[in-house]
This record gives sequence, C-alpha cells and structure tokens, in this order.
Amino acid sequence: MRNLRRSCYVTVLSAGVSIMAIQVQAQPAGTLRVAVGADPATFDPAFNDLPVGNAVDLAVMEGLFRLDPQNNVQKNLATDYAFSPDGKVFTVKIRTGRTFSNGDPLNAEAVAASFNRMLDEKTGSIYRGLYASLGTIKAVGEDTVEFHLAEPNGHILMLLSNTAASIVNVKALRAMGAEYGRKPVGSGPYMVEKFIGGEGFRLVPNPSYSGDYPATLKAIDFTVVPEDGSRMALLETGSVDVVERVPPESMPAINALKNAKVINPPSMFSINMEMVLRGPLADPRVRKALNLAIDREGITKGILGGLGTPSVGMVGPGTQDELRKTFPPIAFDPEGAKKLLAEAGYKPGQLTLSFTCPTGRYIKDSQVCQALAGSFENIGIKAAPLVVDRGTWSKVIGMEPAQRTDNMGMVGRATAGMDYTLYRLFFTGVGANRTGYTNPRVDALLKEGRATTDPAKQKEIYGEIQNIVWSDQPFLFLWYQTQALGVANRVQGLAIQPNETLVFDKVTLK
Amino acid sequence: MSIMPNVLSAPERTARPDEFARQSRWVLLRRILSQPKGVVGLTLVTLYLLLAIFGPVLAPQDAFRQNFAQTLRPPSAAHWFGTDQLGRDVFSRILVGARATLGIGVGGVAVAFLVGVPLGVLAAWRRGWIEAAVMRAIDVMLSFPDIVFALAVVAILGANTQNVIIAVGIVSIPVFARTARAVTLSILAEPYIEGSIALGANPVRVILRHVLPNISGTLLTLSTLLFASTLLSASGLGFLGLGTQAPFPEWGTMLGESRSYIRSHPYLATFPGLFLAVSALAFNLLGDALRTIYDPTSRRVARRAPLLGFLRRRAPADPAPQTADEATGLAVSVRGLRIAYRTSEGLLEVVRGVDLTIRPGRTLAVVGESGSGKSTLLRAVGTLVNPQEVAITAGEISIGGETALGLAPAALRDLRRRKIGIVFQDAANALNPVLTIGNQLAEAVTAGSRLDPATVRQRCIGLLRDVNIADPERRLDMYPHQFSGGMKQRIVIAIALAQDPEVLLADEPTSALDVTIQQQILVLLAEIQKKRGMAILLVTHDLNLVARFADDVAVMYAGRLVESGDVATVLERPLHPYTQALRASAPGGSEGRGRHLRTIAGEPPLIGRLPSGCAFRPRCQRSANRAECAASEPNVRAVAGRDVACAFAEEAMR
Amino acid sequence: MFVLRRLGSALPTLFAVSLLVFLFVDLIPGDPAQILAGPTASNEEIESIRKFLGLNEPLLTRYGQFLRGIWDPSAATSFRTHRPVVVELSERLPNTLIVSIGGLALGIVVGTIAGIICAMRPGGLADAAITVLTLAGISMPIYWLGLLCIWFFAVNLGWLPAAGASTPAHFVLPILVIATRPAAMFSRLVATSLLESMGKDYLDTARAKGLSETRVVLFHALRNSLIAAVSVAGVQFGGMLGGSVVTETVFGIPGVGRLLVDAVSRADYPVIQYAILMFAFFFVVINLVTDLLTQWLDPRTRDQERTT
Repeated sequence: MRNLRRSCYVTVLSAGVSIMAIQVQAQPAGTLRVAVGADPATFDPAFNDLPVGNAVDLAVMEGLFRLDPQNNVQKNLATDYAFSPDGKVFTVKIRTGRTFSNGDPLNAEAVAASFNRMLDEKTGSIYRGLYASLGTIKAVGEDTVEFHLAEPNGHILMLLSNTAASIVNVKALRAMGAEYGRKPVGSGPYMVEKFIGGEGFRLVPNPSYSGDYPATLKAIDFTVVPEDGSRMALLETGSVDVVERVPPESMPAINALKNAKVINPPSMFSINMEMVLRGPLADPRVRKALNLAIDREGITKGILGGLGTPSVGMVGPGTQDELRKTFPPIAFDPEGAKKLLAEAGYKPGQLTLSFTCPTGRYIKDSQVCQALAGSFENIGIKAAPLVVDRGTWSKVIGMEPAQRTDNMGMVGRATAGMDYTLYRLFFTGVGANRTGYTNPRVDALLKEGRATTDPAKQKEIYGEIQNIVWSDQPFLFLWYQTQALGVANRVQGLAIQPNETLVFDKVTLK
Repeated sequence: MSIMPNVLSAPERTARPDEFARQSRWVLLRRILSQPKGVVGLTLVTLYLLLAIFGPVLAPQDAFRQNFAQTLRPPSAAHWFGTDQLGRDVFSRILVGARATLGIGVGGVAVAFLVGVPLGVLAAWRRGWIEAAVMRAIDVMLSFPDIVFALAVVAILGANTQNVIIAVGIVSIPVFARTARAVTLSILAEPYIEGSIALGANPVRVILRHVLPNISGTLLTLSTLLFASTLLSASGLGFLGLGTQAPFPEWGTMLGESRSYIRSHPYLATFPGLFLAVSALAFNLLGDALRTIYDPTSRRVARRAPLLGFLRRRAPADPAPQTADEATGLAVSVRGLRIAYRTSEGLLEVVRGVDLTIRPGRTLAVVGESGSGKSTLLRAVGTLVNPQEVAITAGEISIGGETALGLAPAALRDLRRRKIGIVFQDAANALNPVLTIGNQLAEAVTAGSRLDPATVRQRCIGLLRDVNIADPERRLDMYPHQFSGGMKQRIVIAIALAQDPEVLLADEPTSALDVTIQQQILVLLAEIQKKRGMAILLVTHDLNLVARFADDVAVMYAGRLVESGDVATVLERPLHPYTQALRASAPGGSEGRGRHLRTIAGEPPLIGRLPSGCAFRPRCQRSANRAECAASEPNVRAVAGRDVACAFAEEAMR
Repeated sequence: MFVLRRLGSALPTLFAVSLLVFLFVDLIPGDPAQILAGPTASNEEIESIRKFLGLNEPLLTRYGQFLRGIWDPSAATSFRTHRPVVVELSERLPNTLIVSIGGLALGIVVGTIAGIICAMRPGGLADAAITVLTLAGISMPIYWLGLLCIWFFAVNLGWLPAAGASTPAHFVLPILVIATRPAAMFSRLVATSLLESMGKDYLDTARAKGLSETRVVLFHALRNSLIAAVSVAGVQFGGMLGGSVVTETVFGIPGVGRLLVDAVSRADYPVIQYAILMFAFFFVVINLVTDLLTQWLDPRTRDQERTT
C-alpha cells in the first residue's frame, strides 16, 4: 500500500521536483486555476471542516508543525520541542522574527493566544473536543510555548501538525469578526486576495513570508462548482487546471484529453458500515457472516469504478503509517456466510437487518447501499436499506446505541490520528462510541497507548488493538477511498495529502 | 408555485349548464377520439396504464438482481436497454418502475385534487371568513418555493414513495383550490343556480347536482396537465436525494441517478427519460383534448391574414364589377352570393344565392329567424367573415361601386376604412374593455391618415357630439365599462361613423337594450342617415322595428331571400307564406321581442339538412303536398311590386 | 394608498410564514451542532456547540430571537460562517435575480411570440413544432437540460463558459435553460387566451376601422390576453426563485438557491429560515406588482378596487 502511494506521488512529481531544485528562489509565476466541488464557508481553522479549507489554511497560515504529502510530521514554525520528565508539559521553541501578513509579530504570545482562543468555550470551535487534551497554553518569553497537559499525551505532534492547529492572528480576528473566516490573516506563503461567496476565491503570494515554502505561483484561483458534470466540463474546456473529485464515469473522458490526466492519490478516508452491537449483531458469527457476504472487489471495481480499495485494516492508509497494521483481505464467501448464519441459529429469511445510508455524502453511497442489500439477500438475510438525506443520516448515526432502531449505518472516517480515532470509537462508553463496542482489554490498551511517548511501545500497543478490533468485527469493513483529480499537463509538482488536502508548495506551471 | 397553474382559470370563463354532466361517458370518449391529439393521448395513456398494471409481470428479468460483472453495458439482445451501474437490467427496471412512477403522478394529483377542490368549493360557497382563511392559507403555501416545501415535507415525514406522493400532492393543492374556487364562483353566479339557491335548495345538493358536474371538466383537464409537473417535482426530489426508496425503480429517480453518466453511457438516461417525457406528453395531449371539449373558446379558429384565404379560393382581384352600370350609384350590391361554413364534414352552405342592393340614403332591413344566415350575410358584406371558418363560394359583393372580394390586405383595409361602418348587437363586446373610448375613437379617426393629436381630439369630440353624448371631453378618457349599454352603443356608432362610411351595417343594434333606449338609438341612426346620406343594412328579427325605420325589407329563410321589396308593399301584403307567418306572429307593440317567431308552426330547418324542393315546405300550409313544392326550389320572381320566391305567391293576393 | 393597504394586509401572511418556517426548520431532521461537530464528536462536545449556538433555549425565546433578527442583522448570524445572514443573502441575491428575471423575461418574450404564432396559424407546421417543443420543455427536468447544454455549447462548441459566474457570458446558458419553462408556459397560455379573444366583436370593430391584422392582434387581442398571462407570470417568478436551487447547482452560480440547499444539508437554521422568509416576502411583493400590472392593463379591476 505504502509503495503504491509513494509511486503514485513520485509519478506526479518526478518531472517537477528536478526543476524545482533549480527554481527554488525563482519569482512566483503563472496562475493556477482550481475547480472544487464543496463550498468553503470559512477558512477559520477553528471551524473549517472541508479539505479545500485545509488546503487554503496550509497555504495561508502556518502551524507549529505540518504534514508532508506522505503525512509525516515536519517542523514548521517550531524549531525544537521536548516533553517534561513527567510527560505533562510539552515545550516548543519557535522561530523568531516572523510576522503575520499584516505586520503583527508572530511570537510565542501570538501562538498561545491562537490555541487558547480555539479552546475557549465561547469561541464554539468544532475542534475544541479534539484539542481539549492540550490543556492550557502559555508563552514563555518571545520564542517558547508551553502546553500544560492534563495527562501525558503521546500524540501531541499529530494533533499540532493538523491544519486545524494553524496559528491565527487573534488580534486581527477580534477586529475583523466573522470576516476573518474569508480573509484570514496568517503567516503562510500566500494570502486570500478576494473571496466571493459561493463563486470562488483567489490566493496571492504573501510578500512578508520568510519561511521554507515560498510562493511559486502569482495566483491560485479557486472556482466552486458543485455539480460533477459541470466541473468536469471546466477542465475539458481548459477553463481550469485542476478539478477535484472526478467521478469514476468521467475518468475515461478526462484521460482521453490531450492536455490533462486523472491522478489517483490514496485517501485515508475509510468507509464502513458501523454496526449497532445489539440483538442479532451482538453475535460475532452474524457479524462475521455479514463481512463474508460482501464482494468488495465487485463493489470497488463495478460501482466505484476503481475509486476505492477493499479494506485491509481498521484505519485507512496515511493515518499514522508507522502505527498502522494491515491484514489479508476478507474473502468473499457467501457459502461460508450462510453456514455461519445457520450456526448462529438463523434460517434463510429469518433475519431482517436494516441499515442507514446517506445519499450524496460519499462516492456512490446510495448505490453501494443497494448493492449491500443485494449481498445480504444473497445469504438469506432480509435487507431493509434506508437511504436518507444528510440531516437524517447525521442524526441517526449520532444516536446512542440504545436509541437506534436500525442495525447499522454507513460512515466514512478520515482518521485524525490513531489515538484519537480508536479511543473515540472503541473505548467503552465514550461519547463517540456509537456501536456500543466494549472490550476491557482494548480499554486498557487505549489508556496505555495514550500515555506512551515511546514510538516502539506505541506500535506494539496499537498493533494489538487493531488486531482485536479486526477480529471482533464491530464494523462491516468496506473500502478505503481513492482520490481522483483531473490535472492539466501544464501543472507540475502538485501534491495531495491522504486527507485530500491539496499542497501547493512546489507547484509550477509549464 | 407549480408549473401549470392558471392555464385553465382564465378569469372570464363562462360556465355552461349541465350540458356535459348529462352526457354519457361514451359521448366524451367519442369527442376525445374525434381529435388527433385525443387519439394519440388516450392511446398512450392507456398503454401506460397497462404498463403500470402488467409491467412487473412482463419484465423479462429480475429488476433487482445485481451483477457486478455486467455493469453499464450498452443495449444488447440480452439487455434491450442495457444494464445500469449495478448490472441490473434497465428494461426490466423500467417495466417494474411504471407502477411507482405513474403511481406518484396519479397519486400526487389525487392528493392535490382531494384536498384542493373541496377547499376551493368551500371557499367559493361560504365566502366570508372561510374564504379569507382558505385564500390566506394558499398565499402562505405559495410563498414557499415549491421544491423547498416538498423537501421539507419529505424530510419531516421520511423519504419513501408514499411520502413523496404526499409532498408533490401538497405542492399542487393551491392550484386546485384556486381553480376550483374561481370556476365554482362563476357557476354560482349563473342565474339558474342563483335561482335554486334563492328557492332554498339544499346547499350540498346544489353542489353535488350542479356545481361539481360543471366544474369537473375543467378540473379533469387541469389534473391531466398537472400530471407531468407532478412527475417532474418528484424527479426533482430524487435529484436532491429525497426520492423514492432505493432499490425500487422509479423513472424520475433513475433519470436523476444516471445524470453523471450522461456522456459516458448516454443510453442509461435515454430510456427512463424517454418513458418519462412521453408519459408527460401523453397526459398533456389528453389534457389538451379534454380542454378543447370542455372549453369551446379554445376551439375557436383565428383569422388568417385574409389575402391567403382569398387567394386559395379565387382568382386575384378582378375589377370587372365596376364596369357594370348597375353597380354604379349603389351603396351595396350583392349578386348571387353563396357562403359556406368549413366543417370537418366539408362545406356547409348557409347563404344560398342572395341578390340585394341598397341605394345611398336608404335602409334595407334583413329579417329572419336565427340560423337563417342573415348575420353571416351582414358580416360578408362587411368583409369580416373569417376565411378559415367561412368560404364565399360564389357571387359578387361591391361596396360603393368597388368590389369587396379578392382584395389584397392593404386594399381591403382601405375599403373597410373608407366605406364600411359596423354596429354590433352587443356594444359591451364591440368595445375593447382595456382601452379608453378616446383611444378607440382616435384609432378609427387616424386610420389611413396622419393627423396631429389636437385635430384627432377635436374630431373625436365631434363624433361623440354627433351621437348625442354629453360632456364628450371628459368621456374620452373613460373606459367602456364606465358607460351604460345605450351609451356604449352610441360610442360604437360614433366609431363606425368616424371615416364617413358609405354604408352602415347594423346587426341587431338594439336587441340588447331597454325599450326606451332602443327607440333613442334608432332615432339617432335615422337622423345621422339623413344628415350623411349613407346606406344602412339592418339585420333584425323585429318586424315592428322594420316597419318603422326601414325603407326596404328582405325576408331571409334558410339562406335565401324569400321575399324582398319596399317595406310598405311587403309588410302590407306579404305574399310568401313565411313572411305572412312572421307578420301574423308579430304583436302590435315592440315588447316581448325575440319571442314572436317561435309561434310559427314547425321547427326552423337545420343547415345541411334542408328538405328537397322549397325549404319552407315542411312548415308551409300553402304547399299542402303539392308536387311543385317538392320538385324544386322556387325561383325568385317579381310579383306585385316585390321579389318573391314562392311558386304560388299569387294565391296570397286573392 | 392601495399599495400600503395591500402591504398591510400581507403582514399576517408574512407572520404566518415566519412562524411556519421557524417550526418547519425545527422539524427537519438533523441537529446543527451534531453536523458541525462531525461523526467523531462526543455528546459533551456536541452539547457545548449546541449551547454556543443557542439551540438549548426554549422555542419561544428562539422564535423571538428569529423575529429580532429581521431588523437587527447582528442577531441573525449563520451557524457556519458566523456572518450576518443579511450579508450572506445580499451577496448572492443579485446572481439569483439576474438568472430568474433574465430567464423569466426571455421566457415571456419567446413564449409570447411563439403563442402569437400558434394562435395566428393554428394547425399549421409552426403550431405543431411549437407544441412539440413546448411539451418537451415542460417534460424535461431542468438539471438534465442544463447538463446537455453545458456539454453541447461549452464542451463541444466552446462558445460559452461551462460554469461559474464571473463574466456576463457565464449567465447566458443558465438564463437560456431556465427560460424554457416559462417560455413553454407562456406560449400555451398566450395561444389559448388569444384564441379566446379572437372571436370577440371588438376585434371586428377594430378591423372595420381599417386597421391591419397585425395591429388588431398585437394592440387589441394581445393586450386582453396579457391580463391572464400577467398573473401567471407572477406565480412563475415565485417558481423560478424556487427553481434557482437546481439551476444554480448545475451551473455553479453562487446564488440564494444554492445557499439554501447547502444550508439545508448543513442544518444552518438561520440561513434556511431567513432565505425562505425572503422568498415569501418576494412573493408578496410580486403579487402586489402583478395586481398593479393587472390594474394597469385592465381598467375594470381598478373600479372594482375602488368600490370595495
């Protein structure tokens, strides 16, 4: 998997990288035009929840750390970091002499203010829960920031390298109010020149930037076009250079173009049917039977048109690959599934399972839902698929297990780190554990893993957790998504992170 | 809000008595099938209904069976319409989906009908606060964009076929309620309904017996027309992800799902789209056919630019008549005129060889029963017959010495402007309700010439003075509805006089007026005639009026003039048995107009089913089975100072 | 005077709409806090966002807040962007109006001309062609037509841009597409009511004056036919605003319709509520304009108004 991803990345970059070496100090040149499907409402990292917003935040702001296109953590504003011996204070040294694009100094105080603002309940940030473990943040002098954690946390680097942890200029934000979400003041290589709600926005180089990723483009123009067919038409008519989210059926048409190709970087997005572990699904044999009944190859090839690969582990690729564990693919074995069902005491037609799917949320979601229903019928289970709108879907999958009236729901998760994801999904009784999964051994391991800062130990602990979850099968494991972007040949050096963030660091135009 | 709203609710539709309610449905069927679009529409709708009933049985393959090895295949022998993204047979899915699709269309319309119609009828019946409440509620409903409204309904109730039907139905309720209210109001205003209400008839009974049968035609038509928009609304819901439940097939949802394959796999969308569009087409055609039946005005044929019609029928203009001495010096000269209606069964002759002349300053009255062809004759003389409806098959008409047939449009306009003025029976219809009197007068004054506005105004004022309208300056800016019937008729006369015509054609000019006003108008006409010396062609069925105001009279029966001559001569001693009967039935006074002629024994003849020989034979006491009467139509002969068409005219002189 | 009275009488309607919208939006499934927080959020986090958004207040308090937002923009901010809803709406309204008004105007003009042609030559070739086109226009889902047009005019011929709203050329295709429905409607409507007025005596009066057939139809018959058409145009305009939801999505136009759809899928209550309320207000205004137009066209209704 890892190799595949890397090779893909390399093919995209190969030409660009070598030229880049020479052009590093060159003047920004050319305008890159990008068509995206989702309408970013805000670039404020405390509220943004879209990959487009991530891409803009990455270009317009800086965090203490950042992820490279392979999701490896790299220092950005940070120059050095260390844990206190008890593991409860995390200290970061930052570069000095840096400023925001409006000239305000970017010092330790500004960094602390940025984090404290996100964690303030009055801000209402949607990431307050994710970052609550950072505790309180203090500036010590000009160049040192201290995180006073409530308990030791071995995953703080992962958290701090996320774009949600980008440093915002709190002073400017106070002055601008909600407008800050459109024209954020950051310290990144670019800044937002204009933003027309629903239509698009434009990034231009930040003249005061002095970091390691200087702007290479004179401008980046984003256009928002939600309808797939219309967005593809923009690339075909040469109106844009990059289109996001190419539907499988449009890939041949784009590949047939003379001046553009489809690229398929991997995605950490992992789509599963998350079961409610009650009634028939409390029986592991039934869960196993369901997992055997699914023709994952058929679904990923036939319905997704190749934009997915069958799941081989709980978390998707690119999450924290050093901790990730993969397993042999689950076989497609309807006969075996029928046997298991018989063992569990269900005759054909006796068991009815209902499941909730969104429509328009994931690639071909409602069609997959129909396919799953067919697969269940195939092993003698009466299937009741419920394809619902987004609001209903979010309500259903957000319910406590005890309130659920259906048996499972389709959910896609882009894992924000091993600890965060596994802890939230599988720790007994935790708010986001919507399956009702409980396993004392997993609980113990999750606690231990959170406190551990030693990578080798972490690998061991999380390996065991992934083993247990994979064999317990609280999910009907389906597939990892594959991204598909249409990219014009003139674009060189475009990279895409597994969390679907576009990285413009090294983009040049031929 | 919805797509088809007011197509039918044209505000001034007149309701007809229970004419259609009494007809059996076979008559309705025959009427639908008599129109090409009715045949096509009904056939298609029947096919679709059969498809909805038998579709699932006919489906060659399992419409739900998935096959990932066979996804997105183009049409082939095994899969006639190809396979979809899950490898299912599209042909089978379309057959199975017919029931759900038509169910949504029919169901949605039914929901809207069952809620909207009672509300509308109730609002019209109860008036007062109930009406206010209903109309306000409809306003509120209309204020929501319909797709949002439907979306909210489905979102709240949950997405399944039944709720989609409810949602698209609710969206159409206002259309039905409004239409039902409007139509009911107009029917309740009918005299016979007002009568029965005044007599204390049970309201429920009145609604069931009189109102519902009368509005059913309009509502049936509206239902079929709304069907298509209902299907589209449902399809729109599918587009927004709130359609029927997968995997159950429904055409609109199939079409929506296939939109991303529009270019790579076009056949995927083609077939559901085709079936959907043709179903919409079928119901619309049927609706159109029904509308033609229930709303006779829509059958009306428009007037073609006259030249085309004339060219088709006749050789180009032939100025020959002017050379004939008899035509000169005559205001109107009609020779051997034959006029026929164009019907689906061919030409139907209504004027069968008429000769008449009017000299300047004289008044000729044409009298006869309704249906005798006298109004058609008048319109033909006025060059106003619609060549698409009516054909002039033979004869000559000349006005003031110029031929009026076969003219180019410009020449025809010129003739009308200079020589012809027309006064219609109902002045309310003869004036355009949305233009001021001044406007309409000025139009007549300025036609064919360029005058400055002040002159035009002076001329208009002068014309109004001529027809004895007081305070003409102020009246010019008023609209027709602000005048009484008699005043309106004066204005019509003023318009007719605007260009000093040589002949004034008056079609029952007073029969819609009160007796006293009638008198005034006739006196006015006589005065004007004296002053200007124009000829008047007066069509009427009132012999008293003829006796007092006409110089000559022509009695028309079944498309022919049976007796004509000097008024004194003819009315003093009519020679034709029909004229005699007319005179005998006319009471001494002028009251009770319109009723006299009914007292003539026997029924007026039906056009196209005239008896052989003399057309009056079946009602004639004189004919008494004489062989001559049955053998041939009697020729017009000069007898005792008049022309008469009776073989035994002399018998009346004894 | 009349205008004021009409606006006054519309107030109860608007009030009912505001209440309905408010309750409706509350009934739509989906918790804004939950959607904002994402699927991995815990109950406590969702609760804190809900508190931040003020969703825990009693219904009546929230309704009061909603009403306050009508005149105090700072009291009504989007859940997602935190900007005043007024700003969000006013930013996008021009695009929606351009497409709706442009589409309606084009549709009316084309439809009226087609209707006149149909009425002048019933049963002719043009009539048949227009009838078929009309039915096709009524039967074709708008998103389909939009995608076909993009494919044909933008991708195949390259005449017009495929999507977006940055230049006037971007509005050509959406306006063309959205005009099909009103054009189809109007050609039928105008043809029907023209045929209806064709038999009226006043047309013969006009002909007897020596006026040309064109003038008779355009000046006398059409004017009367338009009275019925105007009221439909009003209703149609409301429909076009609703239809903007789909058109704007297909053509990537940043308008109110798309804002509304986004808001529905994101449960951004304030945006949904005020957007619909704005549509309702438009409808009231359109009704008023329709009535004024009808009065201007039809003097008879003026006097009725005066006497009642």
